[in-house]
Amino acid sequence: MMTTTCAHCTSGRRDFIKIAFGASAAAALSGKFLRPSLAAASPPRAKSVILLWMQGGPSQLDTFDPKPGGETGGPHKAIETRTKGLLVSEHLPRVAQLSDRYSVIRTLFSKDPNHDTARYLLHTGYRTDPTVDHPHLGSLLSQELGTRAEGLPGCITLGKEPGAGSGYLAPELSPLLIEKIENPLEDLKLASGVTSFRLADREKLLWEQNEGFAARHPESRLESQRKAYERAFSLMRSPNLKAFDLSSEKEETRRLYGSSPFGRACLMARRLVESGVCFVEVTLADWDTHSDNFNRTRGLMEQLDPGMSGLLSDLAQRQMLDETLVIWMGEFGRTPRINAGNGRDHWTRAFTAALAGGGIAGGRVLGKTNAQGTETLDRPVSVQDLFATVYGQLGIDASKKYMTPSGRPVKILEGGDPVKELLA
Amino acid sequence: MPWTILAILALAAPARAPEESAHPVDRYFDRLWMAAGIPARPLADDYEFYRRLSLDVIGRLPRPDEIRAFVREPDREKAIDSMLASDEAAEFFADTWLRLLLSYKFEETLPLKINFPAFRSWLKAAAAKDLPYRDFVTQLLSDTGDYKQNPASNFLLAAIDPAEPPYEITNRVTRIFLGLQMQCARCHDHPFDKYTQEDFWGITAFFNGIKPKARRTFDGFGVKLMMEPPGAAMMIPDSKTEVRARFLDGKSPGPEEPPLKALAAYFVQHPQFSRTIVNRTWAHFMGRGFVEPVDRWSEKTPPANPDLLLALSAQFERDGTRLRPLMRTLLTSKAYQASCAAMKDAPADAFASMALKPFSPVQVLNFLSGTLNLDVFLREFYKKFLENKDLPETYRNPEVFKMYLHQFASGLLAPTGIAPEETRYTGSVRLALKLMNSSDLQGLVRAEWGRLADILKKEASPAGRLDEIFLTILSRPPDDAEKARYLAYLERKKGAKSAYEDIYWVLINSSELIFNH
Repeated sequence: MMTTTCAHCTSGRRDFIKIAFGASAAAALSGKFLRPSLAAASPPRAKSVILLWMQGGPSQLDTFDPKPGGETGGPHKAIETRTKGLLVSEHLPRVAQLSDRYSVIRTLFSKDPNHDTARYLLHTGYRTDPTVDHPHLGSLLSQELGTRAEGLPGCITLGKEPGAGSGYLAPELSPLLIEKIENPLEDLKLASGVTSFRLADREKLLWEQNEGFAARHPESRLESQRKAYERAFSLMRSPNLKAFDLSSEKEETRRLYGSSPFGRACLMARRLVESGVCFVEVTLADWDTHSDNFNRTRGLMEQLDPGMSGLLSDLAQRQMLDETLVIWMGEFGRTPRINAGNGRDHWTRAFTAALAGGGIAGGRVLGKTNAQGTETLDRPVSVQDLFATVYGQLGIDASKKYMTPSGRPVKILEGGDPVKELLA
Repeated sequence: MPWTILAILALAAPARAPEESAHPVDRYFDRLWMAAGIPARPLADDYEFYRRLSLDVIGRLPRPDEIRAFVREPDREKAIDSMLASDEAAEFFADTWLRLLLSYKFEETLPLKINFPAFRSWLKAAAAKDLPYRDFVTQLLSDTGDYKQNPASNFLLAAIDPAEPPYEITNRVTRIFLGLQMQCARCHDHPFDKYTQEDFWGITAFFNGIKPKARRTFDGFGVKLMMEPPGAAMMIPDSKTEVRARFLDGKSPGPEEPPLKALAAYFVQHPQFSRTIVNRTWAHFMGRGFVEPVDRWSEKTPPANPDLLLALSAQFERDGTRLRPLMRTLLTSKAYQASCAAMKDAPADAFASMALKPFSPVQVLNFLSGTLNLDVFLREFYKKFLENKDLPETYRNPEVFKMYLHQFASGLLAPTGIAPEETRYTGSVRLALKLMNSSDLQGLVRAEWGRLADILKKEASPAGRLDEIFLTILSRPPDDAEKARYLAYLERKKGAKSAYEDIYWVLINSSELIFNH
C-alpha cells in the first residue's frame, strides 16, 4: 500500500505550500477563517442533525443488507419493505414499514477496522492525525450554525461519551454529555437546600473571587474556564431544560418510541431539536458482536426498531423531518463470515448507513453488495462522501478552512462528493 | 528583534563570569532575560511555591499543617529534597506513567490483558529507588516472560492486538521514548519527516512474533509474553516488500543478538533518548516544553532554547540517566520558582513567569479527595467493586479501581479523544456542573465527617475558620479584600453553617483552584 494520498497526512502537504510560498500566504492566514464561504450551490434543507450511533459496529447483514439463505446469512429472516429492492431483518418490522422515509447506503467503506480510530473517522470525517485534533461533527455544526436554544449548547450527546471533542474549535463547543437518560438533569438542577437565591449569592461571590486571579493571569486558559462556568450557569437557568423532561409527552407518543433507554433518548433528541439544538447524538451500544451475534443483534434490534421508527414517524408527523437530518450508522460493519463463536468480526469493505429527512429522499437504496455480502458490486461510498452529503444538506461549505491552534489551515472536509442520488 | 536572535546573542556571551550563577538553568536565563530586556523577576511567595511543588511532585494539594510548617521554616531546597524522596512522589510517578505508557487508553478489557498490580508496583519501585532511566526503558522494551515475575513486560503486552501486526508497539515506543511521531509512515513514507515506510516496519519487525500466552498457574491465571519466532523480518502488509529488523539508521542487529535487547540498546543511545525525557520533565514542571507538544519532535519545529536543552541532557547522562537529579535541577531554578503573575510581552519560551498548568485527571481526583474527602466516600464503592464476583479476578484490585477513577476524571475534564496525550483541563462545562451541583459532592461539603465540619469544630472564630478553609482549598490565607468580603458575608448570614458551605463551594469552583500556578 505505497500510496501518497493518505487523508490524515494531506494537511502536511498544505504546510509545505505555506513553507514554499512563505510570508504572504502566512499573512493571509492571520484571521480565523481563511476565506469567506463561497455560498453553497443549493439552498440548505436541514437545520439540525440527529445521529443514531450504533456503537461497536452494527452488523449490516443482520439489519439493512441481509443475505437470507446463503452461508453468510445467519438465522434472521429478511422481510420486504416499501422500498423496491430493499430487504431488512425480520426484527425491524416497523422500520421496514417506514422505508419510504429513509434511504440506505449499502456500500459505505473505510480502511479502519479499529474501534477508537474508526469512531473518530465517522465523527469527524478525518482519520486520526497526531498533529491536528479535528472537531466532532456536532461541534462543527454548533460553530457553523449556532444553537437556537437559549441556554443549551449546540451539540448534545445522550448516554455515552462523544466520539470526539471540540478539536481545533473553541473548547466551549465541546459536546455536552448527558450521562443518565433516566436522570438527565442530575448535575443541572440545584442540590437540595440550595435555592435560586442562594445560588445567586454563590455566583456573585464566585465571580468576585475569580476577578482577582484573572487580573494577574490574562491567559486564554482562564478565559476558557470563565466561559465554561458562564455556559454552565446559563444551562442551569435555561428555559429549554424542559426539553429533557419526557413526562410532558403524551403516553401515546412515548409508546411510539418504546420503553428502552435508547427509545427514550430518541424522544429526548426530538424534543432537543425542537427547542433549537442543532446536533444530538443518541447511542445504542454493544454492537461489537464477536460472539453470539444473532441473539445479541436481535436484542439490539428490539430496541432499535421502536426507537428509530418512532423518531422518524414522530418527526414526520410534526413536519420536522424536512429540517432534521437523521443518520443511522456505526464505526464499521461486520464480517459476512460467521466465526466459531457464532459471531461476526470487524468489516470495513462494505457497510451500511441510513439517512432520513433534511432533504434526503426516502425510499431509495444506493450501492449493491454481492450475494455473500463480501464484495461491493456497485457504487462504493466513502466516509468523506457521506460527510460531504451531510454538510451539503446543511448548507455548509466543506471547503472552508479553519486555523488550528498551531497555525495550520484545515478544511472542514478533505475530499468527498455528496451522494446526489439520494437528494430529494 | 526576533526572539531567536536574542537567544543567540545571549548565548554568544562569554563563558561564565565570576558573578554569574552556578545553577545551569539560572545562568542561561539570567543572560537571556538581560539580553531581552526582561527585568528581574520576583520569585513566588512561600505559599505559592509550596502549593506548586506539592502538585508537581506528589500530585496533590498540600494540607494546612504542611503549609504552616513550611511557612514557619521556608527552606525550599529541603522541601524539594524531602518531597522528591517521598513515597507519595513515587505514587504520583506510577499513576502518571501508567497512563502515559498505556497511551492514555483504559479499555475495559485491559485488566484481562495485563497485570495492573504488578505493573504499577514495578513503576512505583522504579521511582522510589530512582532507577536509571536507561535501565527503566531497557526493561520496558525487552522484558518478556511471566507478567507478574517480569512486570515491565506489561508495557508491551498492553499494546498487542492479536488481530494485527505489532505496529501499535512501534507507535508507542518511538513516541514515548524518542518523541517521534512515526505512525504516518505505517502506510507511506512520512511526507515531512525523513521516516520511510521501511523505517516503520523495520522497527516493527523487532516485535514480529510477539504474543501473549494465557495459562493457568498455581495461583490462578497468568499471562506470559512470548516471542515466537523471535522477530527478525516481516512483510509490509498489503505489499510484496519484506523488511529485516532494522534501526532508524538503516543498520540491522547481528544475527546472534536477541532482537528486543538489541533494540533497547539502540534506543538508549539514540540522540533523541535523553532529550525526549528531559523535555518531558521540563514540560511537566514548567507547563511548556522546549518542544511542544512533548511527543511531537520534528525537524521542521526546532526546540526553543536548544542550548539549555542540550546542556541539561548532557548533565542527565553524566548523572547516569537518573531522573531525581534532573528534577532537582529544574525545581531549584529561578525559572521554576518564578512568580506566576503573568509577565506582559515576554515570550512564553523565555520562562520569565510560571505558566498556568491545567490539572491532569490524577490531580483532579487528588484535589477532590483532599478538599472533600472523596476518597472516604469512594471506600464503599471500592468495597463493592472488590466483592463483585461478576467481575473477573484480575479486575478486583485497587490498581484497576484507580484506573477507572482516573478515566472518569479524564472524561470530566474534556471528552476523551483518541490522541495519545493526557487530557488536561481546558474549561469544562461537565466538570463545572459536577462541582456546582452534584448531589454527591454537595453532600460531601455538608457531611458531618467532612473537611468543612472538621474545620468548624476545630476553629471557633469566623476569621480562624476562613483561614483554614482558604488553606485547605487554595493553599494560602485570604488576602485583606477577601477577608473583608467573606467576613461581611458571614455576618450578614449570622454565621450560619450554610454560609460557610457557600464559601467552601465558591473556592472549590474558583479558577485559582483548578490550575497549578
